[in-house]
Amino acid sequence: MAAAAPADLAEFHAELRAVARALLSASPPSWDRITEVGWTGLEVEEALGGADATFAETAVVLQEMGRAAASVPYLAVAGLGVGALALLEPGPDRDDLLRATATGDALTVVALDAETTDGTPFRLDAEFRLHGTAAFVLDASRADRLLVPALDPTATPVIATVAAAPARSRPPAPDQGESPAADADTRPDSSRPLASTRSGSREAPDGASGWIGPRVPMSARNGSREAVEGAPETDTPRVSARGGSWEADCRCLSASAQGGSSVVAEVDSRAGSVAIADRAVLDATRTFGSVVADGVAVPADAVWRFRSDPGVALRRLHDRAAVAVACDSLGLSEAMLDATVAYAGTREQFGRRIGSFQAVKHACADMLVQARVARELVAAAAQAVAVGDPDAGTAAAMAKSFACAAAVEVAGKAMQLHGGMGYTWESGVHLHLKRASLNRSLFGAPARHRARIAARYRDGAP
Amino acid sequence: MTAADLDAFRAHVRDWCRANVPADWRRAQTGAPDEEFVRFQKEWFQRLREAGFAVPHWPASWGGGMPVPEQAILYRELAAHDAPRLVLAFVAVHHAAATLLAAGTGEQRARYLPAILDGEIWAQGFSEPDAGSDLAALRTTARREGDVYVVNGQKCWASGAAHADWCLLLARTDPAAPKRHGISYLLMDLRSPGVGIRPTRQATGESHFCEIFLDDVAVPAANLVGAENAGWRVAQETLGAERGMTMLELAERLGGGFRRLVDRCSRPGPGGTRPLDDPLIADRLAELETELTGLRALCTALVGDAHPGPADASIVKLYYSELLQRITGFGTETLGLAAHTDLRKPASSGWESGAWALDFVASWEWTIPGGASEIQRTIIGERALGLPREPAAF
Repeated sequence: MAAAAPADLAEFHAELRAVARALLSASPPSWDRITEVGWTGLEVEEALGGADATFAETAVVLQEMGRAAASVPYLAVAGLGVGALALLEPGPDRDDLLRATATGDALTVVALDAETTDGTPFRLDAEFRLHGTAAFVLDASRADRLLVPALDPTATPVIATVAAAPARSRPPAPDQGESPAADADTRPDSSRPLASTRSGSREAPDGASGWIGPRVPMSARNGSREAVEGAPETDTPRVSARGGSWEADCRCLSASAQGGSSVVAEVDSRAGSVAIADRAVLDATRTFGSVVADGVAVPADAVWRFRSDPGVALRRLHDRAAVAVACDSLGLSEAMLDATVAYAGTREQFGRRIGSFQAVKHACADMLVQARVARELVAAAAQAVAVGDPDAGTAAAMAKSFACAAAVEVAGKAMQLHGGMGYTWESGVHLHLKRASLNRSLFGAPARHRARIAARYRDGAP
Repeated sequence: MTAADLDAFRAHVRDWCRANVPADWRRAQTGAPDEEFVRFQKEWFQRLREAGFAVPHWPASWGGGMPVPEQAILYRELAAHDAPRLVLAFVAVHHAAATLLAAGTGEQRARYLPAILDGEIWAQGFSEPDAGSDLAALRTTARREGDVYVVNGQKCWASGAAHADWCLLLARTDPAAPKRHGISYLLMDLRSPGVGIRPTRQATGESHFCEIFLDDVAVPAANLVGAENAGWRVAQETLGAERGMTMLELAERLGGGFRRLVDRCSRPGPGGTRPLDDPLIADRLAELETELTGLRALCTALVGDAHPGPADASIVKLYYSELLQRITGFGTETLGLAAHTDLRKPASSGWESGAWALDFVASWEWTIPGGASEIQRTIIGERALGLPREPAAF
């Protein structure tokens, strides 16, 4: 794959894109089907059940996810989970998890704070107790394995692995429709706690092994108030992680370990917990959880190290996140452009198809130009991430800031040009507009990324 | 071509630039008389030609054949070393050559392409006072008499015509045919009897655009390009070149202009502070660099694509021209009143000469000619997106 000629690669991408588009046009797209066809394992080596491809191929699927506004945890799992695992030192535990993530047996999520562009809010103290809060972690509440980027006692970035739920009780893909054409009534009502829409398997019985976190509402717990900051106080606390001892969880981890790499630390089951709480957002195609670690002890063999410079590795993980969202926004923009062109080519007013009016035609032309520029920037960034280009950070910042801002403009213009119909719930344009608007804020708003670009000017760039 | 090959090529171009770009050309070209401008342009063209850098985009058999990645490097290095631009030969090496290569006869190519390399200058006689965006409304006539066409009419916005030897000419050969079907494409010697040229003073104060008056000018029938009355289609090749191949160089030149802007923003500006220390200015610069990076990628893709989309060249022309306007506009806004004190820009420079306020005014030279931005948007909407055409106005 890596040695494929550009023409072959382009053909492969086109094929992958076509298959992805067809599969995701099903409403709702099935997460099981997505893992079955191997998209979560695109970048995983063949020996571990993957396709031995690169991020450039994952990027193709990510674009289609955005096009379909798919409500599946693909970005979290294939974009970040697999990406994080690939950056870690290989070992039996890591390899097992990578294999399970590739095949869909594990839903691995990285507790990367979705509002940041670098670093991590988590740290391990001298006793390897995990502290920190990430207010928004993409798909945290769907995870059965959480990879928590943390600074170890020497301030070196590591990954603390935490089992969020055993793989067998992983929640199925949410059953809401995805495409604008889908019946909107099947979507979760954002005024209800998302947890209540889950299937029974998620509602593990009290005390079942492998569940972590406190049962008490987060807002009632001391020190975790910030995790629900901004949520209406009258809301039912959206606690999805159920009770169960951390000790039990560590046993679960240890059981899966086959000859761990380092010394097993003492586990103090009363040391604390990692709590995940749902954070409902207006974009109903996405789920978030807050992740709060208040001193839980992490066994040494559950602390995994990066295979290369840890600071650079964490930086690359953030860049992957940014580019993954940019891919999503690009696909979303192209979907909105297509829908708008189709509508303007049929809708008649004043005795003419509205697309024949220059005001409409020129707006569509501008949408295309924005999407074309975004496509070039996203392709360059995806390639830079795929090959580990040292300048990938700049390419990622450009792709993220441009494509995600453009998608809001394009989706907004799509709503405008669809007229009153575009503003209805039924049209589904709102789904893309909300997702575009969320994407823009996800993993750093455009201005944050432009600040990274501009920081280079002090060193003489460009 | 490996990365090592490209690195070696880059090093070669850098060495060449260091040895050949005249150190003081900006000063010498500022306010220089026309004759000095023409002399300098022709000399610089020959120097580039000797290095194989004058017409890299032409086919190898005519003296070009440089791979697109090398062309991108060449133009980036010429911009980085602030080399003079080929202002005077622009229409010859792009518009004339593209037209001849696409639609000219073997004899025409053999007559005109080598002559361009030897220094013949071309102008473009398309627009007329009453045929601007609606180019097909042109009224200049060419009446066949024996083995010549007798041409009468008036052309305008012919860039560089005062110093040109030849003119790409659109004229109506069948007044009865529908607008686009009665037009022919001719190659006209500007020294022919009956040709009058008058420079038009532009918004910048310069006068490189010209009016051309044609009074019973005899053009040999052998100078017809394509079939009689099929000139409209041939003209699309000329316009396609303007919107396509030229952009690779212009995008890199704009990149050079952007570097100059960042450099200026890194030094104390109005009020003694560095503009770059203002986060709002840093943010705008980063946004412009992002757009510039997108433009470069679009240009490389367009030039390297054997089968570009029907409006790809329009997308690039539209984006380039409006980004040029945004960058020069931002420079003018940010660099204070000092940006308004350059009353003349150096001849032989591009549309990002560093005389910011003048460059900003001159940026309309790209948003208006060659199909105004509004025309490009219509082309993009209809040809790329397939939107319904405007109902005919008559």
